[in-house]
Amino acid sequence: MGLMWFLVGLITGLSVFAFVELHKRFELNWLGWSGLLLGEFLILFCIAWSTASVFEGVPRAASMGLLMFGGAGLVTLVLTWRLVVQKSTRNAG
Amino acid sequence: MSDESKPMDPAPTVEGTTRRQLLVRSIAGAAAAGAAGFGAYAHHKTKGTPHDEMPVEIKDDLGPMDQRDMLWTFATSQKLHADHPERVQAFNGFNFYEKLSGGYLQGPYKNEPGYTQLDRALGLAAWEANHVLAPGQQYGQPNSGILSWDQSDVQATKYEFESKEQAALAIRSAARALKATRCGITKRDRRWDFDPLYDLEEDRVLTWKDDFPFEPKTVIVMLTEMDYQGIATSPAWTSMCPAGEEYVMGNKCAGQMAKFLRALGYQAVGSNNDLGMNVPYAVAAGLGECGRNGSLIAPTIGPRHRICKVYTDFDFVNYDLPRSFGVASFCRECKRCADSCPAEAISQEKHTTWGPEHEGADIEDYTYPNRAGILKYHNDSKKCLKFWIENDGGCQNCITACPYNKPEFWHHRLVDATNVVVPGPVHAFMREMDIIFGYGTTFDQERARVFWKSGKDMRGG
Repeated sequence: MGLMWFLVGLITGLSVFAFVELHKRFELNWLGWSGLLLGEFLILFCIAWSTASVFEGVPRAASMGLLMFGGAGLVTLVLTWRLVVQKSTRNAG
Repeated sequence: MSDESKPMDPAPTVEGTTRRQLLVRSIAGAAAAGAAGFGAYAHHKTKGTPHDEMPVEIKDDLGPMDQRDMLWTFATSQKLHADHPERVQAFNGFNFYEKLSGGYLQGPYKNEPGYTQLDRALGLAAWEANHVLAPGQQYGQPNSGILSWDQSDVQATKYEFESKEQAALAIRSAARALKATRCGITKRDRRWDFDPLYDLEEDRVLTWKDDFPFEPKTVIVMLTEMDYQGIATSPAWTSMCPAGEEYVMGNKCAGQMAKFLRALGYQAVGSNNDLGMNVPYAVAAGLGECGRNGSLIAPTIGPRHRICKVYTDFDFVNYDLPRSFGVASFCRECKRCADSCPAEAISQEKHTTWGPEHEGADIEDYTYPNRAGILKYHNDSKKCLKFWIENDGGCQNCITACPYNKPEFWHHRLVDATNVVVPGPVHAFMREMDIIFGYGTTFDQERARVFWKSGKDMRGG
């Protein structure tokens, strides 16, 4: 479980860098930021939930976590990227 | 991109900040503050809401229960069966004493997970220490083994605590060191005592006034947590192990806590299933709420525990208040325990009632173990015990299926926190999610296979 929290922290840290980079390249509106943050939160929640479920010996809960939280997170990220981020104004330079 | 192509921003309000940006940042800040506040509120609510009185309604004329009406005492007493043939008659002629004394736990092994010689052996092993520490306490036998009434070792010098707070903290610290999972302290309440008491070995009625060695003023209640993996195998024979093990721990904790108090110079007697009713005493001590299945639902471990207690004349102590944790609201919607009960012994009523409403509720010789006068779910414990006998083991299905029964993982604590702040109808949704996510399954042979692999890390690396 300790390794799982380390990985979640690592991914969170990396995503901060990714968001900073996105901020430099795109001028995102509130919808874009909300979608990206929600998507990232759901992915992280999915990782933490499913790992904990595997550790407690309930594989079905892990699968459902992947499907419901991970699926929702991916859909949110993809939709936000396609419908908001790609159509947003690119920063100069 | 040139500046001309950008949409025109509203006029700046603060240096470098537009009204729009200010609004968005304000909303984001408010959302973050709201989330933090909600989290703090939920965390606070999981600690429970204290009450001056018991968190359930109780009729003013409710008196103590005669121990001879307690089902385990009746079921294991040949004399009480002989004295009350009408009770046997009212339950379709089913004679508990004959069944329990004639081959119970001695049936043939089966060729299916959870019902093998391996599972039977573990159950018997877990209970073995109970028969040494306090034989018969599980049936209500008082004054047994480590739960003896003997007060000859009370220290002549009474230890004086500086304050009631210090005394309560010392008792709780001792409970923790003695391996109890939880500990609460409440006043002795005659409504929750068996009175009169009954000595099963000597077929003799005992009274608190003439037979008990002192006048108790305080009851220290302790919980000991049962093994999650073992309980998950229910109703397989494997699930007898965690139950037996925690009865042993209850005997140990109660006996040792009583000794602790006697060594401090105060009179004390440990108790497990004997002397009084564990669930109301645990509720009074603020350790949880009574659930639909009749068990104490304690925060984070739910009904997956056993209760023991200590009666003492020590009263210079801070008493705990009963607390509610949203269990009543959840149980109203959930009913997973009732649905999973193979004996259909648990009430399916939407609301709590003052007395039993099940089949036979109007027959006095049928409802003798019930406790009318308390607004709760009244179950048919005779049907429950009958299934135990038919299963030639025990049954923990109502504990296994309970959504409050979860191991110590972060996501379950998150659900606990959510549960106490969301309204009733959401509880029905949470129940469905619990099922969809695969929790609380019963009659699941896979659980027995998982249990017998649960020791893989016991070498410590």
